[in-house]
Amino acid sequence: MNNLVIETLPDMPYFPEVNFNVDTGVCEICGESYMEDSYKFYAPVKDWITEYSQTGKRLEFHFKLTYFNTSTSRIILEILDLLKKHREAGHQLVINWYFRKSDPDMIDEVEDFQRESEVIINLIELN
Amino acid sequence: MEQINLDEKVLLAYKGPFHLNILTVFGNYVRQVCCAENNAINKLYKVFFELTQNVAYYSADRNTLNDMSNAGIGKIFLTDESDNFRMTTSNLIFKEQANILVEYCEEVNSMDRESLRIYKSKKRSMLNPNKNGAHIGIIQVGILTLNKVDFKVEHVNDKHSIFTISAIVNKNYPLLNYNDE
Repeated sequence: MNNLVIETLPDMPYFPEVNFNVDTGVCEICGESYMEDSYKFYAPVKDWITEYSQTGKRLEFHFKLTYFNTSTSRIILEILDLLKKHREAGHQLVINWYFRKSDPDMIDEVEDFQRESEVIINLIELN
Repeated sequence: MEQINLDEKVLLAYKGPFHLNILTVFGNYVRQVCCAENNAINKLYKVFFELTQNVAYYSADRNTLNDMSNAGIGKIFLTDESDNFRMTTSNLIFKEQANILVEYCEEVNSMDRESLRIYKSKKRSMLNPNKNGAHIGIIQVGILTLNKVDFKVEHVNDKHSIFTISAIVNKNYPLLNYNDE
């Protein structure tokens, strides 16, 4: 199993940056996400989590998305569902979601994700 | 011929295909050109993508690029109305979609913010994740703006109508967690 790295291209900022590390279990999704065919972009992301989860190792997930469209929000729920399964299998899980004070709507988004997915998400305010 | 209203402070007017690369440029422009609190700019930016991607995904009038990707054709109009911004999009729809859209907008307008959040969660859980769009963009606009959407459907011919929707984004929203209100 390899690290999953997807870099953001300056002329395509609608794809987020993805950095999943198989050795540390630290996973980050950063930037904006409003691409077409979001399910295609996130397919390898979901596959990686499913495969990693079988190792039984600790998973530390950092969402650093500053904007995502409603289409992406559906995929985020699927990712959270995979993370929930990881926890239910008895493996360690930490989920952090970063937001800026100038974007209080993000707090509500995360609360809705928590309610819908039934996983604990730590909200961390950025300076 | 479109009427020009000299009293309007127009920040953006565009008619054409809503390809993602164009929307990206306009989205960045919207963030730069609109003078308001950061919170309002964030809301405006999000509303911009919800409304324009609705046109891109669902307009009945389509444009195809050389790479065979295609996007809906429509119009966007953004004005500064001193206390708020008004963002309006229009696009062609099939006649049979008109009533569905009208009922959808009326439903969104009848709910308060908390009801809209629950409604969005319910609709989101029923979506097919392997398709473009989430069909919850207008709900999200209601949640973000705290205002009702203006909308209308105009007859074109036996097959088509034009759907127009406007979102009002205030320039000052409280910078606090809404749960503390």
